[in-house]
Amino acid sequence: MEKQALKKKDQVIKVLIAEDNAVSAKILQKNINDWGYEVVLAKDGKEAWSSLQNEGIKLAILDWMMPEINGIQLCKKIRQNDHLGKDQEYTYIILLTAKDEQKDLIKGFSAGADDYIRKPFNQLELKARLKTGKRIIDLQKQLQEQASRDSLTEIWNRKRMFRILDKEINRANRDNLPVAIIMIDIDKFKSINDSHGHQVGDLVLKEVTHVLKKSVRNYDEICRYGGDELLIILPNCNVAKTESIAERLRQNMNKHRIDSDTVSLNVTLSFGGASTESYSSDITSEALIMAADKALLEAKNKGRNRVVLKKKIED
Amino acid sequence: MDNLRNSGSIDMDSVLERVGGDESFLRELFDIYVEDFIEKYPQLEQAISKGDFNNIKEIGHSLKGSSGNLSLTGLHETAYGIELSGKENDIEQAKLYFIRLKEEFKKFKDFLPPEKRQNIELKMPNME
Repeated sequence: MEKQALKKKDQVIKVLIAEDNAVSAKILQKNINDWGYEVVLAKDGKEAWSSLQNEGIKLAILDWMMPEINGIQLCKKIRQNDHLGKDQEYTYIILLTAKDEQKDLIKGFSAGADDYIRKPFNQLELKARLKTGKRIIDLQKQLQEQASRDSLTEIWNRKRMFRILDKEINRANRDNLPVAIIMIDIDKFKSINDSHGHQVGDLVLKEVTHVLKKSVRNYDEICRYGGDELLIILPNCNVAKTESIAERLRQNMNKHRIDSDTVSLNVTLSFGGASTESYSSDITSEALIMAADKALLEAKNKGRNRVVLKKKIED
Repeated sequence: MDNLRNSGSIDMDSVLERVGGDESFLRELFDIYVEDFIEKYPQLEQAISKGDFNNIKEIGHSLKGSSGNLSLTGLHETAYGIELSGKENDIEQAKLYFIRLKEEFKKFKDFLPPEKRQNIELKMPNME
């Protein structure tokens, strides 16, 4: 069972082997494939660099001496890229080194390598070192996931929301498609908290999130923007489509009753939406949020439990 | 394989361990090794005659890597000697190791199956 679970595609770790020596590359490839990893081969540093940028590589085995860009230079390049942040995940680097290069290992570690293997390698040692790499990658992934989620509702937090939105706006521009956001406020949330206590308030937040999650398309992203404000990112949505989705969410929430041990209540939501369709392509995440926020304020001023869309910049 | 094991030019146990006991895969690796050697040998000869130490070092390093991975002990040591000669700018030493490289390769080649051997002799007539 466990083995089967490990074989799931998203769990298979992609390993880059950057090695100009054909014999060594072939042996590495066979072993690493046999241990259940997916292998990408590169025969020099330049090829390795291009794979690293496009192929979702988690673990890189880099030969120290390679034509074009050597292992050390490549290490530095990878780490520089890690610092640029964005959605880049950590790349675990193992340097391949000949026995007599061992004295230079410090150089490798300060360039950013995590580990090293001596050539010719021992099979069991390589296997163990890869396992360590996998453990670090898994931990790093968990950590990143935790740092991106809101602890109460487990939806994306504000920090992550901005990253997703920036990425979606870029993608929308590239594909010439709109992207929309809906800001949602829980009506009279403060008085729910005041009269029923924070535990009920927390439950309301969780239930609202649950209803929204069930009602959106599976590629829409729900985030917690602030206290009782939620934000949904909707790829490929113009104003009309956004309005109809928001209206569906509003109705679904109206039909839902929240029950706790002490109370049973109906909660309504106010919605403010905006789509890049209404703006020029250089609109920023912040400006789009501001537009949706304005619409949300209007929805609340008009009596709550309603949807308002920003249709033009002047709206 | 047994032929080769008895030749004294390979540590068969260690290389078989490295390839998970897969003899047909090992044969495939020998083919790759031989092809690579046939390509590198004249390059090395040229680098030595020109006194191109950087190339001597790099070709030596590369041959060291592949022969080491195949546990071809004699060839591995010799290639290492060539790499060092390049690093130390020592042309006389490079020439000596080059002669040894030729001998070690012949020793290895002579234990390969006849058709493989003939193929090498065809491509490297100056080896004899």
